[in-house]
Amino acid sequence: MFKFYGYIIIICLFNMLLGYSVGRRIGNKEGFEKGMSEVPLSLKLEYYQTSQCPVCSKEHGKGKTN
Amino acid sequence: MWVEIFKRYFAVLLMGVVIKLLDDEVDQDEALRGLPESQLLRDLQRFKLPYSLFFLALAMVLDTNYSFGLFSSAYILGMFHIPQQRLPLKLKSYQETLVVVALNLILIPFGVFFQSFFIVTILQLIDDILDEEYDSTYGYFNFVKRYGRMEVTLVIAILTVASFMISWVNTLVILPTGIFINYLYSWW
Repeated sequence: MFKFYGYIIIICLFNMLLGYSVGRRIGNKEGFEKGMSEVPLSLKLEYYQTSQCPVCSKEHGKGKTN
Repeated sequence: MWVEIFKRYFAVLLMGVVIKLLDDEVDQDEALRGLPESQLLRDLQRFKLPYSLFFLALAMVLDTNYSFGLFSSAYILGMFHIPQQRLPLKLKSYQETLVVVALNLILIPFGVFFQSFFIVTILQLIDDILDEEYDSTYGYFNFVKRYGRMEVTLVIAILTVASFMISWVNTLVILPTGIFINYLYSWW
């Protein structure tokens, strides 16, 4: 009897494990895509607010010689 | 029955000490942490090979099957994350794992081998959950970092149920002993 319940518990836990591991992989991929699509927007927002280049941190208009 | 349980308990305790000392030696923890302050512990560090061999011999006398199963399971699990590395015996790591598994299946009963492998895996995973920050700071391999915390917890639950199914008395003897050794070691 103990063994029978043991098999049932193991099958249930294994299904949960399968769901969690597949979900983590899918979620990592989705999150990466979401982040990559948000990066240009946030960089542009930062540039408009501080007028400072996000790559080289040079302020707008300072580098020109004229 | 009680004599057998006591012998098994003592054998597992000694085997846990041996495996912990071996783990330290392989990981070269001494170089990172430095030598301990007290003279007694320093002497113990210097002469740990004879002591651990003596403990191993004593554990083998007290309970042959479980000692061999636990020691070889710890040996297999220790080189689990470097399957392609060449070891000093000119074999690759996974080949040596296969040799050790075959020896186990020939020499000791199936149930004993599987149960000790499950229990050593459970202890390793619990240790990984507790030591996640330390391991990621010093760059050791960690199951929690690679596979995620919830997955590791579920694997622990599955293996616990499986080892209870194989033999519940031996699980109740070995699992608390291993946790006790881990606790004692972190406190020391």
